[in-house]
Amino acid sequence: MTLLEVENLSIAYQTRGGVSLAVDAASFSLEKGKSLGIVGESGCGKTTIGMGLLRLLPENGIIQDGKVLFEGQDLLQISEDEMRTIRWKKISMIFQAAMNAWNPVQRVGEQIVEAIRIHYPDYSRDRAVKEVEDLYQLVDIPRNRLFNYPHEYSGGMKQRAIIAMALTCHPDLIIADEPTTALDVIVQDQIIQKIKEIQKELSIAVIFISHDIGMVAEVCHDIMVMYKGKIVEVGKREEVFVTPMHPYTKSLLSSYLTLDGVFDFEDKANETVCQPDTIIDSHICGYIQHCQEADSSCLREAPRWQEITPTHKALCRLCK
Amino acid sequence: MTLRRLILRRSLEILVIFFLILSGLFFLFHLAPGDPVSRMVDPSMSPEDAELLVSQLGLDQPLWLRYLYYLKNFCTGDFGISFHYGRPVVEVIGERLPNTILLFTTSIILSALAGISWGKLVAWYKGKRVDTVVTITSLVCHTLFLPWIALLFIWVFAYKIGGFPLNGMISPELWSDPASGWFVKALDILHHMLLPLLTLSIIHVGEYLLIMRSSMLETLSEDYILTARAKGLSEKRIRNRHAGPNASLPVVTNVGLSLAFSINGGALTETVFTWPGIGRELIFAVSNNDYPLALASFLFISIVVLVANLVVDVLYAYLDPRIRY
Repeated sequence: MTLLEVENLSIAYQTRGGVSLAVDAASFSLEKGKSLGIVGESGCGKTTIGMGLLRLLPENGIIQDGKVLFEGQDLLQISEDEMRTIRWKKISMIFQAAMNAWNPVQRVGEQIVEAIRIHYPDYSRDRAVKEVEDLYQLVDIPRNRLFNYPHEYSGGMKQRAIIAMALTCHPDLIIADEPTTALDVIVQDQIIQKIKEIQKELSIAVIFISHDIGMVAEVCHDIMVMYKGKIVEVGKREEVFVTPMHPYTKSLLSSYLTLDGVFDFEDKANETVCQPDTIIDSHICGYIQHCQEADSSCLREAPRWQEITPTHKALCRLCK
Repeated sequence: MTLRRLILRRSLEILVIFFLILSGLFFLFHLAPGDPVSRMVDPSMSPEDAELLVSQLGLDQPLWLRYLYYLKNFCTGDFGISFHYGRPVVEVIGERLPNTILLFTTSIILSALAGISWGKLVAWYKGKRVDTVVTITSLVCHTLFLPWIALLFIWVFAYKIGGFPLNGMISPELWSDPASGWFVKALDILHHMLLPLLTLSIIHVGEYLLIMRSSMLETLSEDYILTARAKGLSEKRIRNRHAGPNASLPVVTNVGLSLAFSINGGALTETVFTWPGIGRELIFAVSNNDYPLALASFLFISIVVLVANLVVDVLYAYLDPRIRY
């Protein structure tokens, strides 16, 4: 059953230099209890999509067009008050920088209890605390640390506590935006395993936003690759990871360390980070400057979606 | 527990600082121009009598011995006799200091509360007309010259419009009337206090508001505000529970800092409104070479500032758990 269906979502930022399109007509869907990974480099619009779903864009962010159907309801059409009841109760988030995601002057437990009691006003404080204690057990934090201040937690604990908080209201969807950035590799792995485990156990749908395609491949059922605000390839994990079709996905995969440890510097050097303020010309392929496979026809014609299998497609004229 | 340790540590530091102030003042007064003897000695006095007076005052003793006497006198609470009043200095200060503390703590608390709550709101409506108007007004208030605004208030409210007393702290006829109860007396003090209070507060509220506004704007861009939004909290709750308390920390720091500076402003305000406080007494004592009174005034003002700073420190530690160490 489809939980989330995004149609033609376009989000732009109002900047001094004019309006810059950050997400260009993105469409995708997510089944209940499944996980979707959004991969791409910095500035490609993946976080913007995540924030856009919850309508938490910065002040200068404008949702220009599109539909976000969550359980059949268009989240872009409802009032702010209605949206507040969706936030956290239906869709929660695991934040990019757990270090700063906690209010430094309030006890961690208080902040989680607050999230519960906002959405369930009839819960007593004790009942809310009891629930948080159970969640702490789930994410392996000792109960006696519940009412510590954030600065008394380690980085990994803060991140696990965020996961606990994301689960408080039993949401249907969790948006995990770079949940492991700024953590060391071992803790990263623990967090990923935890999310994977919880996702399976509670069958919560997860949108995983990351620049690390390897990590996403480990956790997600489906992978979506973004480049310069556009979705360029969608498919099942195996399809995208094993048989990438879009040239960008290929170079993204090849830029990762392989087992023999050879890093393809030449290929990497060809890659320039896409500037957020780059004006996206929606007529020709955005990747054309860096594409190794592009030919003259790419300069003339717009890229088209090519279906490789019913579940796997790429936005490129050349892949078949 | 940690809070208690912080109080203990700060108190010890304050004792050390106070000892330094105590000693510093002694030597500063020793260096000050003007001779206390010349004020007391009559030109018609015989040299022998003058010398006797000097030795009675202990001024013929070496400096180090006088310093030790000074410390001993301080410890026994003996601050000498005021030249002008001919009464023990402690008595004079005991009458004046509470008046100053009343005026000051009220104005500081009022302006800090007003600055914090208005600054919070104004930051929330950044860029709107209310923000522009309030910010510019605060800037103007902050830069106002205090004696000028004090005189202006007297002229407008006490003289032109009327209804406010020109000076003083109490109406003598009301206080000498045995029929008036404590409530009437308190109202009378409040009535007299309103204009000086307004003057002091106007100067400070602008400062606190501007600090709060910019601090609030900074706080609003923090990640935990985004967390609060994502949690589905109402805007009001985000403002008052999450952004407000964090943003008010710099204001608390500034209250501590401005305390010391507000003493001069306070002295001016007290002088203009003839408020019988210690600031006015200090100016009077200095200009009249009333050494014991001036010295003791300085000491007590520094005690007040030190204690107020301790309170601010503790308040800060209470508000921000990160600095309790």
